[in-house]
Amino acid sequence: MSGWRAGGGWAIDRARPLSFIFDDREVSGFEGDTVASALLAGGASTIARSFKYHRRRGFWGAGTEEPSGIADVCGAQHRPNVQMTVEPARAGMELRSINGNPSAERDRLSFIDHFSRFIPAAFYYKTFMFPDWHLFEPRIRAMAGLGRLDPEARGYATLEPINLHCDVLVIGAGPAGLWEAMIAAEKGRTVVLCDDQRKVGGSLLFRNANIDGEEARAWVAQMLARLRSMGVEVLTGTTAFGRYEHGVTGLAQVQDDGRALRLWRVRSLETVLATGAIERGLPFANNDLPGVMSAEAGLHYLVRYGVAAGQRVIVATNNGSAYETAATLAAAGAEVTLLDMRGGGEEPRDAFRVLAGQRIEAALGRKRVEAVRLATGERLDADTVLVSGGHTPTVHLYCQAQGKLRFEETIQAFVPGGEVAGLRVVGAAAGQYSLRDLLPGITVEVPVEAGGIVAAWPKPGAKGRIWLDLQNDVTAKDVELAARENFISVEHLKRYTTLGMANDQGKTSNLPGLALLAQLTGRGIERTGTTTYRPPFVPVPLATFAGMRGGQLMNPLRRLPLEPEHRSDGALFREYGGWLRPAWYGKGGEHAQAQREALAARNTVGLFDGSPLGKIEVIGPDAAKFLDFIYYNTMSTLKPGRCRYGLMLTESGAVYDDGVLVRLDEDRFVVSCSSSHVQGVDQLLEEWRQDSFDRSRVFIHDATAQFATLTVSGPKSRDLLNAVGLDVALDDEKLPHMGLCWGRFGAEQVRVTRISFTGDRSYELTIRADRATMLWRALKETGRAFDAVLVGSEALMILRAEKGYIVIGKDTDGRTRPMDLGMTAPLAKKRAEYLGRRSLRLRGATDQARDLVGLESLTATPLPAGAHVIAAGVEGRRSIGFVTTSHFSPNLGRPIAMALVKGGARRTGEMVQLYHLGLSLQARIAPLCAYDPEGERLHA
Amino acid sequence: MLDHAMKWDAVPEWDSVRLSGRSVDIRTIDLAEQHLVSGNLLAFAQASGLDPHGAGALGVVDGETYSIRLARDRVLAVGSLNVGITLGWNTAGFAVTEIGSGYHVFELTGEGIPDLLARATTIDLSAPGPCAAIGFAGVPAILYCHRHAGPNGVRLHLERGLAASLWLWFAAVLDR
Repeated sequence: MSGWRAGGGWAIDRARPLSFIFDDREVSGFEGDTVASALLAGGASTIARSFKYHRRRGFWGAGTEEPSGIADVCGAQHRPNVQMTVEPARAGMELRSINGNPSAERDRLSFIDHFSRFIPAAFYYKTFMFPDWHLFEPRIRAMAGLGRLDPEARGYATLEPINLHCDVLVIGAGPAGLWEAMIAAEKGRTVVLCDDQRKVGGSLLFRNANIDGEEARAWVAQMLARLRSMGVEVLTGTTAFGRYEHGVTGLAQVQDDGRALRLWRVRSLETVLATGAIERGLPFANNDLPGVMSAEAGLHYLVRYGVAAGQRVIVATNNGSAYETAATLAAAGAEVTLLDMRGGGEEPRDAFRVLAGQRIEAALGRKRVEAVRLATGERLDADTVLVSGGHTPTVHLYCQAQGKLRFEETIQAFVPGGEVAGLRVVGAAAGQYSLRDLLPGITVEVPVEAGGIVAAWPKPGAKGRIWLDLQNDVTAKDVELAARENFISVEHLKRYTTLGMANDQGKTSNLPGLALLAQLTGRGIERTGTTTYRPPFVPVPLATFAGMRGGQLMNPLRRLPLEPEHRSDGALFREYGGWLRPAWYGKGGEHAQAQREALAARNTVGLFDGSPLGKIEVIGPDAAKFLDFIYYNTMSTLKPGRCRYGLMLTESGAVYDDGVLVRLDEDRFVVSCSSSHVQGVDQLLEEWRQDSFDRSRVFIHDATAQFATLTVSGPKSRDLLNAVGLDVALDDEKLPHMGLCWGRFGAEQVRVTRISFTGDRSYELTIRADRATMLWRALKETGRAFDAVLVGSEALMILRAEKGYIVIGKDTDGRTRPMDLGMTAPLAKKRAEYLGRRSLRLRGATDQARDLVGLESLTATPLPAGAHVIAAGVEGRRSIGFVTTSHFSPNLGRPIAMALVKGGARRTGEMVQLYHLGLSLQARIAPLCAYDPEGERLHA
Repeated sequence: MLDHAMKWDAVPEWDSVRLSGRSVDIRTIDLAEQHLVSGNLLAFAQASGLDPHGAGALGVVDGETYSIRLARDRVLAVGSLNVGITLGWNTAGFAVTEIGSGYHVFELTGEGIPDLLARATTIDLSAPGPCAAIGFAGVPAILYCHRHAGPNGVRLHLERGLAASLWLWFAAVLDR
C-alpha cells in the first residue's frame, strides 16, 4: 500500500462518503472522487493487466491520456472500457478490471510474461502458421481486446445528437481557453467552450498560481461566471474527439444517468484549440511497474482529491515542471527525493532532497515499485516514482485538420507548424507553457516555472525492458526489432509493433517511440515524423454516433396510404425496398396464403396495392429526347396516351432498373420505375438532366407519393372495373394493352393504364393518395361478386415468375446486360446515344455474359434460390450461373425457376447440374415463360 | 411468423393526433393544394402572382397561398393556382406537377422549436439559407415559418409515406 488520503482535495466532499466495488473488493471514497482517485487513496496499486504480457499496471495519468486504468462498469448500465481517471466514483457502482482473470491482482495469465522473449512485436506474423493459423485464431481472438461485453446488459439508453452553430468554438477550458473565450465573447461573437473535465480550469485545477490578485481556482470561477453571463455555452465533461470537413468538430459529452455520451456536431467559423499538453514518461527499465506515474498526475490527485500517490516518493524529471509536484507532496507529508537530469542548475530545497544530474536506470520491485537504481548504480528505496519527461502538446485535432507539425528543440516536442484555415492553436497545445505568456496584461504569480528541458529519449541498446506503450506492451526493443526488419517508416512501425494504437492514439507513447526510431535510422525526429492523426481522440461508443437510431427509428420506413385498410383486412406485413407492404392476407402462413392468392388471381380477379411504384414526371420540350438517352429502348416514338416497357442501364451497361414509361402528352411523361428504386432513379434522372441537357427544357418531378396505384388483374378485372364505374370505356379498342385513358371515381380523376405484371389482363388505377381509400373499398366490395382476392407481394412474385417477368436486383445483378435478358434489338438498331451504350459495345463486354432462362425441377420440390449452376471441366467444378427465382406454381402444379446461366439461351432442354450448400441436384433448362407463353391471357 | 406490422406502430389518425413536450406542440394540417413548379420562375411568378424566389429555410410566409424555394429553379407553390396555369409543361417555360397529396404537412409551435431543430437539422438557425429543402431527422423535408404558427412556429412538409416514421421520432425526442 502506498497511496493515501492526505489533507485538502478541493474537489471532494468529505462529508459524503461512498463506496463501490472494484474486482470484488469494496473501495471507499468521497463524493467528487474519480474511480482512480478513490482506488489510489485506498492504496490500490495493480488496477489492470497489460494487453499482451498481462503485466501488472497501475495508474499512469489523471485524465484521458490514461493508458492502463481502464475497467468495465458492470450491471444494468454496463459500459465497457471506461477510463477510471475520468469516471466519477458513484456509490454502489461495480467495476471489473481489464485483462485480469479473475482479477487484476490475481491474474491466471500472468505467466505469459515469462514467455515474452518468444512473443515480441509482430510475433503473430511469424508464428502460429503451422499447421494452420485458424487452429489458433479463436483462442487468440478470445484473449485480444480490452474489456468484456456483458451479454445480459441492456446497452446504453439512447440520446439524440445535437447540431450547434457558433462563431467560435474553444476546445479546452484551461487558462488559455478561458482567456480566448473571453476575448471572443467580448467582441460579441457567439462562443462555445468545451472541456473534457467536469470542471473547467485545465491545469489550474491542480497547479498553484495567483492570477490578477486571485488564487487560481477563484480566478477560474470568476471567469466562468463572466463567460456564462455573456452567453457563452460551456460544455463540461465534453471531449472534442474529431475534426471533420467544413469546420465540423465532433464533441462527446458524458451523461450522468447511464445514457451514452451525447454527440454534438459543432460548426464554427473559428475553432480555437486550447487542448494543453500531456506529460511524457522517462525511459528506464521496468518503467511500467505499478507506482510509476506521471508527476503531473501525482500533483493532480493530491491537489484535487487530497490523495498522495506514495509515502516515499522519487520525482524524476528532465524539466522544471515536476518541482511543484515534489514541493506539494513534501508539504503533504511525503518523503520526497527529486532527481533532475538537467544537472546542477536548481536551488537546494528545504522540503525535499534534490539530486541534480541523476537519472534512473531501472525501477525495482515485483508487484510494484520498491526502489530505483540510478545510472550511478546507487539504489534508492521508494514506493512511488513520479516522472516527467517533458510535455507533448495535444495537437490531434490540428493534425486531423491537415495541420503540419514541426519539431521544437527548445521544448523537445512537436508543435503546430503552419496555419490551418479556421483553426488556431493556443497555450500549451502550441508549446507555450508559461502562464504569464498565456495571460498577457494581467498579473500572474506562479510558484515554479517550467524552465528548460534536456532530451530524455530511449537509447538504442539500453538494458532492460523500457516500456513505450503501456497499454499495448511495446518496448524499446520492439522498436529496435522493427527497425532491424526494415519497418522504418513511422506508419509501418505503428502497424508492426502496435505502438500508439487503441486508447493512446499518440498521447503518451508515440514521441518516445519515434524518437528512438529517429536515432536508429539517423534521420532526426522531425524527418521521422509522426503517424497520421485520425478521429477519434478518445474512444467514443458507437451508441453515441447511432443516437436514437434503433428499433422503429433505425431507418425511416415508408408507409402505404392504404396501410390501415390492409391491417383491417388481416395483412401480414413485411419490409420490401423500404416500404411496409402486405406480404399476404390471412393467417394460413406464407406458402398456403401466397398459393391461394396466386391461384385465385388467375381465375377471378386480384387486387394489389402497387402504390410504391415510381411515378416520376419528366416534363418539357426536350423530355422525349432526354428519355431516349435515359432508356435503352427508343422512347421518343411513343405516342401520347400509350405506355412502353423499357430498361435503364448504368454507365457500365448493366441493367439498373426496368419499368413502364407512360406518355401523358407531347411534353409530359411518367417514369414508372421499380418501387425500391424511386429515389435512385430520381437522382439519376436529375443528374443527367443537369449534366447533359438544356436545363430550361426538361424537368424532373417525383410525384410517387402523390398517387396511390391500385392494380386490378385477372380474367374478371374488366368486369369488376365496369361494375365499379370509372366512367371510362374499357374495351380493347379504346384501351388496348399498354394504353392509357382517364376516368373518374366520384369527383376524383383516375388514370387508367393497361399494364400487366402478371401476364393477365390488368389495369393500374392511379388516384390521389388521399382519395384512394374509397376507391379501394369500392373495388373490394364490388369485387365480392367476382370472387376478387386481395393479393400480397408474395403471390405477385409467383404470378410474375410464372410469366418469366424479372425483378431487378433479384433476377439481375451488377453485371447483367439487357442482352442477357433477351433484349438485343436496341443494341443493334437504336441510333440515338443512350446511357450505357458505349460499355455494351466494348470488346470483352460479352466475356462473362449469362442468359436469363427458365429451369425445371425434376422433382416436385422447388429448386433452392441461389443455387449454383455447375459445369464440370478439366479444372473441376465451376459455377456458370445461379438460380435467381424459385417458386411452386399453383397454376401449373409444379415448381418453376429462373436462372442466369452462361450460354443458357442456346441450351434449352439440356440438363444442368446444381450445387447448393453441399447438395447436388439436377434441373432442365426451359423457356423463361412457363405460363401462357402465347400471351393470350393479356386479352382474356 | 415474422410480421412487421408488430414491429411498426400503426399509422396515427392524422386528423386527431397531437404531440406535446419540451415546449413544442405538433399537429398535422391539411394543405390539399400544393404544386411543384420548375423552370422559369419569373414567368411562373407573373402567371401566379407568387414570389418567384420563395421562402427559404425558416423563411416567413403568410396566408394560404405562397411559394417555398426548393432549388435554384424549383419552388413549391402552396394554395390554388391561377386558372391559366396547367399541369405539365407551360409554354411560358415552367413545369407544374400536383403534389398536395404527396406531402404530409406538420405544423410545429412553441418555444422549444429551436432546440428541436438543433436535434433534427444541421441548419444554422441564425443563417438558415435560401433553400427550404433540408434533411430533417434523417428524412427529406421542407421547412419554413408561417405566421399562423406563431413567432417560433414552423411548417414541415415531407413525403407522406415517411410521416409516420417522423412522428415516431418526434414522440421519442419530445418524451425525453
